[in-house]
Amino acid sequence: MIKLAIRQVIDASSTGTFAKNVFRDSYAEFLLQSQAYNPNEAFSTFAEMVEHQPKANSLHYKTGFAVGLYVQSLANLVPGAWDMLGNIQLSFERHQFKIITSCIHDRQLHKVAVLYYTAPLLLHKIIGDYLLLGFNDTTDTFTLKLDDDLSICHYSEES
Amino acid sequence: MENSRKQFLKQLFISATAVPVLIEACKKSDAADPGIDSSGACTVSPEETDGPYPLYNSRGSSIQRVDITDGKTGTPLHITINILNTNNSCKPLANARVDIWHCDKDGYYSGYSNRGYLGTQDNTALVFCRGLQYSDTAGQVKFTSIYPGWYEGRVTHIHAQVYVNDKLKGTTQIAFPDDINAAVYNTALYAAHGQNTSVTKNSADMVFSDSLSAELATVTASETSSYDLVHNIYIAG
Repeated sequence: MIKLAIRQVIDASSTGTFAKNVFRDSYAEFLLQSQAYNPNEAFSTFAEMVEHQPKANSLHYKTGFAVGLYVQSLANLVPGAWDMLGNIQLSFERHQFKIITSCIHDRQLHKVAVLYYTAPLLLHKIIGDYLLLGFNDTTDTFTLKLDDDLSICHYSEES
Repeated sequence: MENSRKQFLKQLFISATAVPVLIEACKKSDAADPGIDSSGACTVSPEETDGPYPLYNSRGSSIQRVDITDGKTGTPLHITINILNTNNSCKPLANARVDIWHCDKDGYYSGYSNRGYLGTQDNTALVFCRGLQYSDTAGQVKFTSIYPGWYEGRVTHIHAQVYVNDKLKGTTQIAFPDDINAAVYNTALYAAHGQNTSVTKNSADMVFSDSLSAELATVTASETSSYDLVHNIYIAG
């Protein structure tokens, strides 16, 4: 039994309503929240803030709650996460928001990720770059391609 | 085949280890304390640390709301905060964004994985007891919540942060009267954790001890097992 984590990277070039909303609102919120850790705008980038004030790490979730309703509007379906044939869209149980890079002077440098965590899936086999997966309540299976934005975040042997 | 699969999975699992939990001592902010004028009335509210548990929002916000209870049990608490402008004769300040957050009746915050007397709770996906509102023309924001509990090292408190025109104008904390804390923690709902033995009164608290008069809310019993909290936050708007 495994659980998957799927990463959706969102930046200024992202398309689609969800990604655009997340980009816009998370940047606006970053500009607000980062003030607490960046008095007098001494720093420009998120990385500089974290380096000088480790508490700035909390900006990941402070900023993330600004997009909570957008994530809720996904109805637990991971954007763009389909099986190889495009029949099954993966669903998620919870999510996590991360700031990858950001800059208070240049919104083009704002880049974030939403991590989606799936419910338990059955891992039957690994075939090359593909996972042969199934659900607990059916014998149907599907295949999913491994890539840089997919990770197995939980593993346990079937009892 | 089986071994290599396990090895592969273990490697993946290790690479995806849990996000480290940030546990920091609740320290006094290094920011300049504006000080409290002895005559009281209209000085900027004391600047306090936002603590380790702040979270925030916007248009897609999951916490822009009046009722911040999110199903948490506890004694109902009706919160009214007045935002007053020290740069305008202490008149109400409209359209200020006010973020508040506090722990639940057992001393746990949402948004974090935190340790308490019931062990570790992973509340990272939850937003209970967090809210934000924009002040109305009377400078007021209102929230409905529960009376906060307490956790090791701090007396009962609510965090508040105020933005005006997208600028952070103040981060402060709101204290509760000692006698009401004691009365609430004596009730059945709060009995499991009981009285705050780690910081027994506001004057002994590391945040409130030097600034209590400006941070102590007016808290009154409004009806059976319910309290009204009213507090003024002064902002140089």
